[in-house]
Amino acid sequence: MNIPNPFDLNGPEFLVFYAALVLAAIGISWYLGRSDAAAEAPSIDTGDPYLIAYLRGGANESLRVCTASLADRGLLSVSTRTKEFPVLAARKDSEAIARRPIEKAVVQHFKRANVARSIFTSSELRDATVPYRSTLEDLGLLMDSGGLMARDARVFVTIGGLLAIAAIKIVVAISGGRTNIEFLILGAVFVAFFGVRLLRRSDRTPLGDRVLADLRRLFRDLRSRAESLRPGGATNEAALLAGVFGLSSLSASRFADLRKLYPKASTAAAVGAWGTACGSLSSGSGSGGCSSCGGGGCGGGCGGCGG
Amino acid sequence: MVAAVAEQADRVGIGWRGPLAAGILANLDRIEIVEVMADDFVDASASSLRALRTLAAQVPVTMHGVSLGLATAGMVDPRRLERIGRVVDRVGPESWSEHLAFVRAGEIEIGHLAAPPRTASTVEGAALNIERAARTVGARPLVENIATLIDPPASDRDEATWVAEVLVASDADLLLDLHNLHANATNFHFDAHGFLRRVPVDRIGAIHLAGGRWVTSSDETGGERRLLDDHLHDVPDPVYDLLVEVATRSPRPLTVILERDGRYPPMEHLLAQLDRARQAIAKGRQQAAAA
Repeated sequence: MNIPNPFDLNGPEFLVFYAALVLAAIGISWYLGRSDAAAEAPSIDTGDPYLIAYLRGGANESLRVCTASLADRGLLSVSTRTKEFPVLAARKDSEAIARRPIEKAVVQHFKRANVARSIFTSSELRDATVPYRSTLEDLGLLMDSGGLMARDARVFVTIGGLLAIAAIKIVVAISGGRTNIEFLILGAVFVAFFGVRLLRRSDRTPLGDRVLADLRRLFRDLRSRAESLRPGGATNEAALLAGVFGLSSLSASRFADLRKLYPKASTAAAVGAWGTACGSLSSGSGSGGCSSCGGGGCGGGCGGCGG
Repeated sequence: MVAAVAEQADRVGIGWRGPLAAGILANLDRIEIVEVMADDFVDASASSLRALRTLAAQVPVTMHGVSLGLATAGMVDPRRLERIGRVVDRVGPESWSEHLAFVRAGEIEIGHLAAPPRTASTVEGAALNIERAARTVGARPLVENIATLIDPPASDRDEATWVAEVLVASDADLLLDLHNLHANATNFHFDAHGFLRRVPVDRIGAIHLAGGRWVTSSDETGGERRLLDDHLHDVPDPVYDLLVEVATRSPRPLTVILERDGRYPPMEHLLAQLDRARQAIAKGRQQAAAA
């Protein structure tokens, strides 16, 4: 069987071939990176909103949720005189009240009033998130340095190979006197930009992606009650909600001040691809979560279930 | 498949309900086991079941069924059993349980856990159904005593006798619902502590705690007051007293689950009830040690 040389294909034919090659290469690269997707979920501290926030969005997200939580609990006072740059300042007794090391570090950071977004440039605060990274790496939910190198090598080979094929075709075309190479150049730029972004989307392992999706399902009922959660930190539900789903999941009316701290994060579609697809874990078959009714008799609770 | 369980100490936990989920996940240092409603997940997506498995990686999970209707002279629906078996298989709880009740007659769903006539025929039927359930699911269910507002007609033995006979015939362990026992004892004027002395205490594998409320029948039927097990109220004091007695007499580690199905109070309030259950168990264990 005579296999045609793809570099001999004409422009439109090569573009179709190249698009198929891009899809196949990125698909294979993505698949190769998912070797641990079927592993059992590890035990993690589901009561720590900053750990979950780190898993979801890294150090910045962990610091963002922590700062918002401290402000919600009144340990940081918020001044929004300038709308774009809200300023935070720690209360005198905040350091004693703050419980977790990351909270103490954030309180320390705001001992001198500073703009909210200053947390993203503080090396001390970044250091305070390192234990979260280590924990998540140890649990196999974030890639360690070896995993990151392997991932980057895979991305380099995949994207580099695709760009090399495009470059060869461009050289072949030009040496053949053809100049209709604009679409191929555009395609190669597209592959370089979006391919790298897609394959280096986050530091989470496939298992980390799965556990985060599972946590979103487990906490889904909390999200549906977001409008009823009250500010003030009486419970850590608001912090958990922000940790799992992002600040944008907090009620816009009840947590208006908090959402102003980080307006971008508060308006982002933080739930992303998982959020709208989750099924409920609370009550799936019409029993309303009632533990003892035989089916249709529960309504809002057990009206005498006997079980 | 049901997970293997190592030798355990007494444990206290709570029923998994959506509105309580965040409170449960945030307080796993005070909750030693979670009971999940199996029937809520028989039609669930693979990803929902996977999330439950992730939950089971955080805290021991036991599953609880409400729809099989094991306690009948007829055969339990094999399709329902298979569906429960699939859920158990996917989630991997450490145990599962069902009620000693009937929930349908022919194709008609009662929508309620009804007490069967307490006869030799229903003892035999329940034992056969428990055996079928064990074969299909891969593990024998714990079976739960139920509450009833009506003393089942056509019965020829009392509840303690009937439950004990089912346990012997089926080789199943008992999920003893202490509020159901308290409600039945109150409504039908028998001694709940006497009931505990008549069922094999070494077969008590788990315990349910719950609350209820008083209801009054219509004037035409005498306006009689009955205690209804509704899972919407706090656990009453007599139920904790029963727990002390079980802990005093039981040679096995106890798994105690608080059931709450609505009118949810703050999580701290429910955690306080778990703490009180722990105190009751500790008191019973101390009494046993002193005896």
